[in-house]
Amino acid sequence: MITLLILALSLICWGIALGAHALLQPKILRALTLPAPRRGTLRLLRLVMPFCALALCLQLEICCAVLSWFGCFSLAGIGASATLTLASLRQRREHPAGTLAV
Amino acid sequence: MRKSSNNKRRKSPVLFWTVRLLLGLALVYLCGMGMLDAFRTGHKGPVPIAGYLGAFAVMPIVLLVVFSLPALGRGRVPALLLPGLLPSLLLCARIATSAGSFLHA
Amino acid sequence: MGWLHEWIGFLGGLVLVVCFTAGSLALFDIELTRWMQPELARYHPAPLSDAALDKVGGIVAQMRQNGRNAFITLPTPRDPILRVLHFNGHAFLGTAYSPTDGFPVLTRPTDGGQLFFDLHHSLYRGPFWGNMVTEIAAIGLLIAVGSGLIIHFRSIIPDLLLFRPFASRTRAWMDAHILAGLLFLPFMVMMAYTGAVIHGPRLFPMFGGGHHGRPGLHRPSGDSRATYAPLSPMLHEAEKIFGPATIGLILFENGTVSMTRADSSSFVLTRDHAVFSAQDGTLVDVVRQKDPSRRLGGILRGLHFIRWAPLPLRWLYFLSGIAGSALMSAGLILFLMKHRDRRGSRFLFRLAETLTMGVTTALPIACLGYLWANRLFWSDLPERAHWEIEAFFLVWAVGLVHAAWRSFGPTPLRGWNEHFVLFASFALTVLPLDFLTRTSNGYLSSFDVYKAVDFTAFAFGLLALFIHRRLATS
Repeated sequence: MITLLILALSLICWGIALGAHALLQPKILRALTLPAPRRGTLRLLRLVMPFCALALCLQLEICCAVLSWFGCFSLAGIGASATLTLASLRQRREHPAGTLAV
Repeated sequence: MRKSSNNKRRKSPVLFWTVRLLLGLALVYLCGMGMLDAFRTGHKGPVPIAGYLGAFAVMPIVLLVVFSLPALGRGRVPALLLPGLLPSLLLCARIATSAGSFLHA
Repeated sequence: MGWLHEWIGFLGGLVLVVCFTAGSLALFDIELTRWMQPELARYHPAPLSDAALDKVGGIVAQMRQNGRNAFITLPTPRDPILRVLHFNGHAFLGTAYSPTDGFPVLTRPTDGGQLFFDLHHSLYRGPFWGNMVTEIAAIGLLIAVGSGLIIHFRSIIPDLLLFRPFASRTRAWMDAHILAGLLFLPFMVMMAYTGAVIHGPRLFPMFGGGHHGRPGLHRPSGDSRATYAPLSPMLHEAEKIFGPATIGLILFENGTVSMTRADSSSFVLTRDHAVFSAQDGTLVDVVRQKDPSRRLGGILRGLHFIRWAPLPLRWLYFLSGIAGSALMSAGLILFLMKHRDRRGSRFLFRLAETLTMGVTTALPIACLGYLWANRLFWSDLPERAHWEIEAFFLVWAVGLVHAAWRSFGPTPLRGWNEHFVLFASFALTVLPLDFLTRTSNGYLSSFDVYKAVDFTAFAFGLLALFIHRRLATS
């Protein structure tokens, strides 16, 4: 049970870090027509959150910790990408093409 | 526009890339074999293990290097080269075996 | 580099999709075997008794005297039952025994999840040619990953999470392919590399070590002993050496009994064992793998097979494996998209599309067909395990024929769509199938391995239904 909890928290940490990374990329903001957010906080999250995930995973056995850390990165990436895509779809619905200045 | 696309097509004929792939795969196998042999002969402990692990890392890298080399000449390998492929491979194998024997000695 | 990635990716991908799909399922091989033996649902886990073990030891002695190379697997949390198994050339088959009294538990004979393990490492064509093909495909995957990285090198960091489903269809598939490729890169590289290294001696037989395939079908037991010394004292002594609840296998050979550590007992899969005399049960030897090469092999096997890991980590592996399969399927589809305009009417293109459908959609249907066959064939059908396998390959072959029919016809897209409908209908009905063909008290009271399989199939069914609807509306 504790393993599951650690993995869930690690997934969230990675999700936040990767989401922040994506929002820092002008190309992704442009392609997904998302508004430009504040960069300072995002940079901090991108830097700190993977270490938080690592610290959480290290509560497990070392081999398990390393594999979990990488595994969470992969799954959280899919989750973050799906969230951004959904946000982008909503944005497109609210602001049809050309009405949103990025 | 037409000229440029023609040039592009001429530079990447299937035959050229297929020959490069076959030669590359032969080289990959020889490199793997050579590396395993070199690290096994006369060594004990971690050296053969490093060779064994390294061989499987080197094999894909060798093929990527082969495909990174710039195209030869005008980007064509004459079809006449195909019949020469097998003797070339045999020659490579022979050289590798000789090199292996030399390393043994 | 693009050409290399495209062709190595396509040719290797056809094999690798099978390897990844089957490998992902093989991670839960024991659980699938239990699902395929619904008689065990009524059985409640109980600790192993000495009397049961000694009784089963006698049964093994009889079997070995009759020339069958049998061995014992001890109860574990994943499979809390005592089993006497033998190898049939593809899988370990045998009878289940109650760990409390050693009486046989009547279960239907089945290869269970081991089919997927065999399919994963040898495409069911072991121990040489199939393994050789998968070994080469593993190296091909490393090459494809390397060339893919070189192609997208500049955009790896900025495009890490870029996915544009509303762009053109090719762009969307390409985004999905790159997204999965980048995110699951550590998993893919690790699995391809460990897989290639574990079975490496097969590629270089001149350096000794043999082909590392599983032993052949006919392997005489070489044991004429009618009885063995009681096994329980040996087990207790072995547990004193290796630690409590660490022994998983009891192997018999040349007048000796080996109490072997379970694969789940540690990360390094070394199969350390204590050897006892079969005649009087005295300890003969304790074998611990200290040779660095063997320990390294154990580490790589531990990483690849992940039998030591807790359940959540195995689920992570499973999802990563499925993502890997989806990534390679997307690659195959991109290959078809690229060539459809110029070569769409050629025989080779249509063959390529048939094979792609065969591995991406027909194989999962065959996997579900295997589960269905297991529950629908009557339990005392002669050669039952064999017929289940036949059903699996028959469904796969029918899927392939259907794929060929559609690919060589004017409407190939309908073929994909029909496969998704078929998959969804098979998968969504696994849950009612299980409910109707298994007698169990309190179906809704607990979450067990049976429901895990049912709901996983259900989730994949929903996904297939979603894809079908998207395909139908596009």
